Amino acid sequence: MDIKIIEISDLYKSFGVIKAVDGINLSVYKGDIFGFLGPNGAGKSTTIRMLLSLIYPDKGSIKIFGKELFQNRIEILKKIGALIERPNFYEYLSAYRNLEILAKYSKINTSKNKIFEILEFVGLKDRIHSKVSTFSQGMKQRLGLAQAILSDPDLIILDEPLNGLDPQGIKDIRNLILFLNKECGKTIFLSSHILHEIELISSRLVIINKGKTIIEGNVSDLLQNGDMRVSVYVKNINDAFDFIKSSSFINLFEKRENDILYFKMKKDDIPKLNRYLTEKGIDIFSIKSVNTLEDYFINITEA
Amino acid sequence: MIKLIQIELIKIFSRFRSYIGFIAIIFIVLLLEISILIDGEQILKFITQNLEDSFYLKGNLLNGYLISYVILNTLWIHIPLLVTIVTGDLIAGESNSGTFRMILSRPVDRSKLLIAKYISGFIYSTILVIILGLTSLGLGIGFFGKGDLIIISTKINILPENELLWRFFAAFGFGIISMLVITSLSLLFSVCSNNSISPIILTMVVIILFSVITSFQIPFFSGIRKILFTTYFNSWRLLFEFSVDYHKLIVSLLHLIINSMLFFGISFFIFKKKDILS
Repeated sequence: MDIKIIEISDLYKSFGVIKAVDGINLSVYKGDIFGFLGPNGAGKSTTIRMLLSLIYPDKGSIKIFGKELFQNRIEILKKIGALIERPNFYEYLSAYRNLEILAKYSKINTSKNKIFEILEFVGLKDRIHSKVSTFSQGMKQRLGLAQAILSDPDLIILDEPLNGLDPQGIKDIRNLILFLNKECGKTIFLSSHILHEIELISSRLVIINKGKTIIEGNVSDLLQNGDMRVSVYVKNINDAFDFIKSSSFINLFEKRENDILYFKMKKDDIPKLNRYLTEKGIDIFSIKSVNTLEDYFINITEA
Repeated sequence: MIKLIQIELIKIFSRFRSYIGFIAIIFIVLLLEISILIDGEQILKFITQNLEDSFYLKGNLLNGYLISYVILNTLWIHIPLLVTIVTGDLIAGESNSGTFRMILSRPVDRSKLLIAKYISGFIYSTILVIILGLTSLGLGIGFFGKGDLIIISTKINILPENELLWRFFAAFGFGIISMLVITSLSLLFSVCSNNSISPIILTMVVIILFSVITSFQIPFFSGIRKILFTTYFNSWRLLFEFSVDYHKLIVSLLHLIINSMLFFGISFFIFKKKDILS
């Protein structure tokens, strides 16, 4: 049976006349890597801050590990690690000293070796005793992740963990998140603007806009829902395009780029198109679905 | 709670700004004492010239106790600024730098955190007053030696040398309580602000405003004057009267403590309900 780790029901929060969160509902299950998406100003940060009891909601309920957050705040927060937006540390202290202080706040007895291990795990082994003020944004982000996993939490909330990272850094953090989820059994609540990353690693997601839940579900199901964008890579594009023009497939045609034709079609139309072009003697190198989360996200938020 | 206070003290004493106050006090006291060492005799002659017509003054009048008393009078309004540089930053600094997100998303009780910060701020201001006391008395006695203390105000108080040490200790003790009010007030502004400068400026504005109301003996302000903490700020001088008015001294202390608790109570209420947006 799926165990609900987070359950948000009818959550509201206003700042003056601005409704930041306007009735959000969502559920995160044990073992999920849950993508939390929305355009700027959708209410993501406000929701995440409410999840961590940094902001008090006007109305609604937040249950984490089956318990009401605001009645069981301390008990719940012991089992959560979080990185919210850009990580901020005591710049005048070393990476080690920062983690030591944060461990004390978390009321956990963390040995020196444990802190060293975590810093090594996030790739900061060589900068353990350097002041945070000397760190690059990417290094601070890694340290942010280190403090989030410091207390070995069951639930890890990451808000824009990839900000400021170079491609190698993004790959490292992605692998780290997958490792924490697959190997350590952590539930991950992940908000990111890099939709491709969410698509790569999330199992489920929710999209919010203007403070409301737009859609929630399994990532692959959402992407397969409705029309798909399909790219067809052919040997002779001019001949192929002439055959398309003289068929009903022209209604599904979107554009051509180099040796690739793009179509918007239902799943069942793909083998039909394949058969048609093959029968006409066109050599096909590949037919791929190019549905991206980005397309889906833009479609749904603009709608 | 002890652990939280330890953490807060580590944070306070890991920052350079916390040492500005100590350095400033030592430097100013040293500067004042050296200048008095050079020109002191002339200043003393000028002050006592009227008395010399009626009294025969004998002994070391320009002594360490007199210097400490003068320094106390001079610096008393400046010490709050040095205290506020640190205490005004206790909450606002963390909001400003974003570290509050890190702390308050951990299993930390907000009430305990605020109390720990308050106690740490008070410890800092206490150390500042102790350093002022040790520096002014230590250097004063070192440079000028000991002797009786002559205080000329509306009347002349001549306090014998053997009574002075406890009076100074009590005066610095009173100063510590005065700084508790400053710590509480700056904490209140710190809780309401998301930047480090506003609490410092606002605390100083309040001190100056209240001091003006306190010092202008206009009937319009007579009702309000009684409840302003600045009215009781200078009550340490009571300890340098020949016979100390303990009732007045205790009333002053109570006013200062009540003001502190009021400021802290409001801070506590606001902080408990505060949304962390930074």
